[in-house]
Amino acid sequence: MLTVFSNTRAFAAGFLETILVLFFLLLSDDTLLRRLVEVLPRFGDKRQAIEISQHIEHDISAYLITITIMNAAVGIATALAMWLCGLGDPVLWGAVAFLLNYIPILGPMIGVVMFTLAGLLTAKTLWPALLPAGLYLLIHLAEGETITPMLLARRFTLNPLLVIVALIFWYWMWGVPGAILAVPMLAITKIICDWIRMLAPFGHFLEG
Amino acid sequence: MARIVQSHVEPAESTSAEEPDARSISNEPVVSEQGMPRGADIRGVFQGGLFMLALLAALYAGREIVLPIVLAIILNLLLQPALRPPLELTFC
Repeated sequence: MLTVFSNTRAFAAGFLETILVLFFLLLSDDTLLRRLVEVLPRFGDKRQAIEISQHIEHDISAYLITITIMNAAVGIATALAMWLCGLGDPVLWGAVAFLLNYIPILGPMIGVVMFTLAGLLTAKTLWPALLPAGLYLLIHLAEGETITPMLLARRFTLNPLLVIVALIFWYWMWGVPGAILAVPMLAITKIICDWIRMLAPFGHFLEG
Repeated sequence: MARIVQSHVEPAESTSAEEPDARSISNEPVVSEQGMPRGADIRGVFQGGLFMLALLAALYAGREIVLPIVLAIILNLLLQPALRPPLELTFC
C-alpha cells in the first residue's frame, strides 16, 4: 500500500514539474533563441543560428504532430472497435492504443497480447474473444504500414535496429515513460544532426 | 579523411619544434595509413567516451528531474505551432 502511494506521489510531482516547465517554455517562446543570437559575435553566425533553429523546430514539430495525430486516430478507431466488440471501458482501450503506438514494434505486440487477454476474459467463445485483438492488429497494420510511412516519407525513417536498441536502452533508463519517449527522442536527434553539418554523418547513420 | 590527416599532422609539427621526440626524428605521421587517429586523438576519443558515460549516469541518477523536463520540451515542440497563430494575431 505504501509503495502505491509513494509511486502516486512521484507521479504527481513529475506531472506538476512537467506542467510547470511546459508553461514557462510556452510563455518564453523565442526568448532563449534571442539571447543566443545576442551573444553570438558575427552577423553570419546569428543568421545561421536562426536558420538552423527554425528548420529544426519546424521538422521536429511536423514529425511530432504527424505521429500524435496518427496515434490519436488509432486510439479513436480502437476505442470504436472495442465498443463494437462489447469490451468494457472502450475509452481506456483507446487511450492504451494511443500510448502504445508511440512504441514501435514492441507497443503493438504488447497491445495484441493485452487485447487477446481482455477478449478471453470478456467473451465466452473463442472467435469473439479473438476479435478485439484482430481488429486492433488490423487498425495498426493499416496505420503503420500505409498511412504513416506515406505521411512521413523517407525523410524521417529511422534504422529499425537502432530503434529497438533505443527502446531497450531508454526503457532500462527511465522505465515506461522512457520507452514512450525513445523514438521521438531518436527522431529529434536525427533531425538536429541532419541540420548541423558537423553532426550530419551521425544523422545519416541513424537513417533507415 | 584528408582533413583528419591534416588536422592531426599540424599539432605534431608544432610540438616537434619545441621538444623533439622519437616521432619527429623518425618522421612518422601521427595518423596511420588507414587514417586511424593516434596519441592525443585517442585520448580525446576516450575523454568523449567518459563524458558520455558520465552524462548517461547523470540521466539515470537524475531521472526524476530530467524526465519531466524532457517531456516538457517535447510537449513544447508539439504545442508551440498551435499557439503561435493566436499570439501573432494578438500582437498584430
